[in-house]
Amino acid sequence: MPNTITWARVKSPWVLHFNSGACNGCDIEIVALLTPKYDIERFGVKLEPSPRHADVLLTTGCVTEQCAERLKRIYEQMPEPKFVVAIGACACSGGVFAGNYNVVGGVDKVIPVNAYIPGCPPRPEAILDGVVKLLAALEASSKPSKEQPKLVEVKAEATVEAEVEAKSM
Amino acid sequence: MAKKKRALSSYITKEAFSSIFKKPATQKYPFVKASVAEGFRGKQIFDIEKCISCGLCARDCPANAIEMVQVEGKNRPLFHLDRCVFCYQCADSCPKNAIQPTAFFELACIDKKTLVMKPEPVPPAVKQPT
Amino acid sequence: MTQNEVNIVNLLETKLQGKNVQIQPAQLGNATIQANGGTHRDVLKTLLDADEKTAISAITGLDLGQNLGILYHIRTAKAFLTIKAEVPKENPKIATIVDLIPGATFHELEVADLFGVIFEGNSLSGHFVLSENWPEGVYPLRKDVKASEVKLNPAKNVEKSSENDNVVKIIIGPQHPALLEPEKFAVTVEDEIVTKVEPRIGYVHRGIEKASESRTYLQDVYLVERICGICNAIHAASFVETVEKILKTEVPPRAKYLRTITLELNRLHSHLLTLGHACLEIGFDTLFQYFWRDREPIMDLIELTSGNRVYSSAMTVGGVRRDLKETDIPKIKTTLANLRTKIPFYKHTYESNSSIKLRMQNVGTLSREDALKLCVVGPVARASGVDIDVRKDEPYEAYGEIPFKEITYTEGDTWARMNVRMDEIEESIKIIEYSLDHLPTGPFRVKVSRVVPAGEAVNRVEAPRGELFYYVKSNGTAMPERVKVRTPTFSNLPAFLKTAIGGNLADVPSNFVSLDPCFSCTDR
Repeated sequence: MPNTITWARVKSPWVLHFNSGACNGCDIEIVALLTPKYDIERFGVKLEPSPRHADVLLTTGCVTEQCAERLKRIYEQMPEPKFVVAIGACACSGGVFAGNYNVVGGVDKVIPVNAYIPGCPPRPEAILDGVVKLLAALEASSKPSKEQPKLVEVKAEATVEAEVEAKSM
Repeated sequence: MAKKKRALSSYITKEAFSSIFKKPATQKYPFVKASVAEGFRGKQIFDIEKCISCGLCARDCPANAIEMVQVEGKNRPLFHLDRCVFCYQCADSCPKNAIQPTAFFELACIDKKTLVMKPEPVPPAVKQPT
Repeated sequence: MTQNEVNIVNLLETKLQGKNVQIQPAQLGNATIQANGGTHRDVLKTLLDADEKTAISAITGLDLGQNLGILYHIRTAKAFLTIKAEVPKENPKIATIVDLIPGATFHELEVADLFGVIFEGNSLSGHFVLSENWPEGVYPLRKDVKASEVKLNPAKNVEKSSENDNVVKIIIGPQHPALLEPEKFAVTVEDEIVTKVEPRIGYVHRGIEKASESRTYLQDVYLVERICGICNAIHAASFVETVEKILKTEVPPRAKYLRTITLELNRLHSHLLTLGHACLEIGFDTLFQYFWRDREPIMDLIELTSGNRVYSSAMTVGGVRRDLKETDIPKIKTTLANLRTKIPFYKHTYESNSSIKLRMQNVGTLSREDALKLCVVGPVARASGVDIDVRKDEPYEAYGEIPFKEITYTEGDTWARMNVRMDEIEESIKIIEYSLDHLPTGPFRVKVSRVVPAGEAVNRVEAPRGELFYYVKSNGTAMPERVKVRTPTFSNLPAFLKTAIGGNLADVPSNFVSLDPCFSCTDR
């Protein structure tokens, strides 16, 4: 029974998108995922309007002071188990804006983050790759149903070393 | 006139119907390799043999993503990929072309500490034969 | 001096005889007028009487040590002028201009928020871009305030409800399915009809103007590019053009044409994005998917020419960073030819589809008179019959040499605004093809010094959303003294507040998207 629930969550995560002070670059790449070329709905991912219905929160943007409080409130409204994906250099660490007045700098300073996708902005394929890695880690984790599972990093197949080797041949 | 009106409004229906017989617009990544243009700015590779420790890359980085650290007694750049915006100003500023672009973009991870590229000597297998 | 400048200076000297003003021609635009002690209102009245198209483009605040400087940048049909006024820091009061130009309200509020200037007669109060828990008396753009030392008060948010049963205040945002960006609109409705809209912006305020003062010019190009992800190339282009004006550097002709190609590709992707997004807001998902499917080849072209799908990072002071390969030109032409074949389908859909006509025609109408009074820019102005386009009025880069049409409609409703964008797609394709056919040979970059000599300059360009204004002041070091950005959505916001009133609540999202809002631009 617990495995069925994990299977259901992995096969069809519903996402909520929130922009916490971003330039829109990452947001338009997220919306591009819904369009025919990348089609994230193949993975059962649906864009939800309400935090109460969502499993995964996709955040973009270096968190501004005004958005920090709202981001916390949205995270608290999501039901367990919930996952947060920080998309873009700004969401990972503040990017070019780190250190400005009015910028907290990085989503993990406000809420816990489960996956980081760097880039400025990351390609839609890179975001897909991040979501797939998160789902693979969720599948590989051991805790069933109600508790928040501990994620295990799954080794990526493509690495820079392999690419550099391919280039030198 | 009614016939012309019907013809005009059926453009959407015609387009929708003809899409059934055309190749799908979806590129089925990750089961198919992503098509990336030549010259795409992905993750950098750093050639430590060409580096002269001038620090211009760290000075010009707009995101302060490069930190000069000591490696074997010399100053070398350490790249913080979670802050990097992949603008490649570091490659433009480097007088010895020690920083080169690759098309690698699958950098997503669970642990942020892995998003750091340390300056390490290039492994012997990858060196160009003289 | 050009003939235009001579005419303007003569007019001002005649009408303002006896008043305490000093006119300096050919500075910060076509002329700078020093006007203290409230005489800025007289200068403005003279300009308004002479030309109905007089509008406020931006208001820049400056920290001059003992005093605060306020620069009013005015746009008329044939010229661009700056009125300079100064107030002491201990008593920073100046008379408002909102009774003369209603569109200046938000510009004054922003300077009041960030510099502490009090505009006497402007009845709006409260924070505009800064958050509610920002400490009182701390004005971030003054030089004595350090970004790292600001301590914010504990957060609080109070929203009062109304007492009347039929009158309901609905809060849209900061997290809302219709909005891609966080911003709050408190919409007051009475039985489904909107009676008032109160915006609260500043959720995306990242303090870019202050941050640019502690980074070099080279780093600032990447910083200002990231003000907005959709119209990124135009921000970078405008900044480098302003710095080149201070340096008095001439960019090689090949670089001008390459910049024009990058800017028009940016315009294409932005217009296709808005056209698709507008269909999403009226519930026409199929057309949204078609528009964004046809937008993907343009993103591939941007990636081909610059290395990234969204941030081209192509501009640098002195030229462009990358040259265009000869082998890429046929690929660009084929993709654009393919896009051109799709345009008749979209035009016919807009003219004949009953859903689009019902939801977009006569919705959110902005009359020509209101468009002039509220100083709107871009496709919103052109859809209401006001023919302003910086590419025609004050050509920059290669636009002076390329023939293209300026698109205007007269209806002023949502449908007209979308049609303006659709026709501009065709014109953009023509501009890129002309540039590729007439691309000059030669270098694409000149070397410039990292240290910029002291001076100041203004520059305006036509972003996809309208007129974008930059002001840069340098003090002889490698870091700028002040960078002021006024984005087109900042000027267009009052138009949304006006057009939403009297319409249905259900029309608010589609009306909103038709003015193509970009809040990351507005808040900076």
